[in-house]
Amino acid sequence: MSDVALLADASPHRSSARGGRLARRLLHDPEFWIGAVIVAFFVLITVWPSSIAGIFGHGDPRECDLRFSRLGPDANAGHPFGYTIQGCDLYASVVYGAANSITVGAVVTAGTAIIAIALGLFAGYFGGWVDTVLSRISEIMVSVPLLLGAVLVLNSIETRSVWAVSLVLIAFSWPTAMRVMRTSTISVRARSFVTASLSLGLPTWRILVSHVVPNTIGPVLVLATLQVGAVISTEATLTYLGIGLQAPALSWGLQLSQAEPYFSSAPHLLYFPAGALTLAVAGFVLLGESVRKSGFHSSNAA
Amino acid sequence: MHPIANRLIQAAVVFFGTSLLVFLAVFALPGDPLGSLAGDADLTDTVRKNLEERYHLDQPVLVQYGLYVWGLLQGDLGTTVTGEDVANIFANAWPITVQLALTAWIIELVAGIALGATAALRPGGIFDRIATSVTIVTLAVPTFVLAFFAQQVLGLQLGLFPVAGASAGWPVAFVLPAACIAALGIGPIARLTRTSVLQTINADFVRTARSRGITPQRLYVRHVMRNALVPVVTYLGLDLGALMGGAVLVEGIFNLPGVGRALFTAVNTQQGSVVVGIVTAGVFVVLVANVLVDLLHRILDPRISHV
Repeated sequence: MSDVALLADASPHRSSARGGRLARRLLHDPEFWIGAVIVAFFVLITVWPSSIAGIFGHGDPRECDLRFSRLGPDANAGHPFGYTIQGCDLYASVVYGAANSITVGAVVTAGTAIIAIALGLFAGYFGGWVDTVLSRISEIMVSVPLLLGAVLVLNSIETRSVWAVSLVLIAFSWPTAMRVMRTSTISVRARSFVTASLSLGLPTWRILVSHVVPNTIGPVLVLATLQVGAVISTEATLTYLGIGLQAPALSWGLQLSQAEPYFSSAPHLLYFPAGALTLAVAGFVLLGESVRKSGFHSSNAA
Repeated sequence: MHPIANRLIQAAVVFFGTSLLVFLAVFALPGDPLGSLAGDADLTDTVRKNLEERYHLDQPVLVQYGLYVWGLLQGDLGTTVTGEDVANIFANAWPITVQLALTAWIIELVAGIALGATAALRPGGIFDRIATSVTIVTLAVPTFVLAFFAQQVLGLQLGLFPVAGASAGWPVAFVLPAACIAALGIGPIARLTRTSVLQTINADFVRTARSRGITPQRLYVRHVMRNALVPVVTYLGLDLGALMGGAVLVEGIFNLPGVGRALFTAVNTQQGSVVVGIVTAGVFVVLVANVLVDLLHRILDPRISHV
């Protein structure tokens, strides 16, 4: 729901940009570069965690010794973030924890965008009862607060993998983008190039794919880039609540929920996983913000 | 048909659709609530059969849903299998959550609008840049992380606020958790206000008003803000749902005995009727807020006559 407000243009009087100007505007934006570097870093440790997990000499998050349980940071011993409750290296655990968060963020965002584009396109282009049914379903889904809905569904799933959590998040997040897509499709449908292709006898799927979609997906794609950060934060929240990913998975949400009773005696257990989580979310938010500011979502519309 | 009646019917359809969805989801929850009643021992067949009849568990799901709605219309929220009245659980938990959500709402409303309106006074100025940075920071920090830090630093280390529990009463016990919930809303509201004010300030009626020679304060408050706040009001209404979700999370961290904690207890102990009741009530609040937003729109901007 907040996504609608997020789309509000930061500078309403700026003329819309197209192609090259858009890219140039992005490349001159420090927000874009900061966001891109952070995101690139987290993508790197998702795909290839061992590349940086071992730089302090203890690259295996599963190599634990209970004697060191909850000991604070000790850079000389090669444990700059300290030890976890089980006495594993916290630095390696945090590095390996990125993979699940980033994967959920990417899968949910892609899944939401695909469903929203397809359903919004159908509802907006065909109108009539298709529109009525799809719009009512989206209204129902949008009225269930995300956290309440996710609690309800996830709690009934015994073993929750990254995919199960992603599916549930997709199920509750597509309506916002679908409504945006529907609105822009309705406005594009009435334009003369669509009428023209209709009168030329183009099959419906051709009209949709080559004329309607390219002119309507801008706003949805901007929403998607803004969404990644929020999804990562939601996944960590659900996991922290005990209805997201489960041990022995490595995840920031799990690290935080397991360490909660020890925060006051071993604050490094709070600072480092929370810091990594916040940095990852901030990276995606900055990237999404810069794309939104560049005026990408209005570049294709009328 | 009158547009308001139309709007109410629409809301009713969505409400029943949602409650059916919630009902079916709870039905799919694994476990045996009757079996857990007996603890380690096994229920005898006759006792089980009696209990099933009493709670209509022997009927098909749709019949159960019908019975539930029938009871709901008569003001009966149902009882749990341990015999506790769901309405009772609600009566204890709601006031806490309502206080929490409303406090959060007021914080995000005041902070967001103030930040956005001030930023719009001089676009690109120093305050505008600060406001933008604040927006991004509030979006980047997950609510529960913020709550942990607030609890550790402001509560434990500085001792400014109570760390947990609602015993200190309003506002002392509620300000810190409410601020954590509100943080997420401040950014979008500030941005929306800023954009909307900038758009309104260039409108014809504002120029006309200025040429009539009214004071800048009066111009800003009466002409610009009143019109610029229409989209902000929409957002504030729609955001109630998110606030309820935030309350579920923050109640756990700050140990406030509200609806969120009742929900978690109910999910873990398979008290289906409590879960359905709480989620349905949450949906109800969201729907009522949406209808109110529509009505408020007409008052703020008489040009809006569509539904």
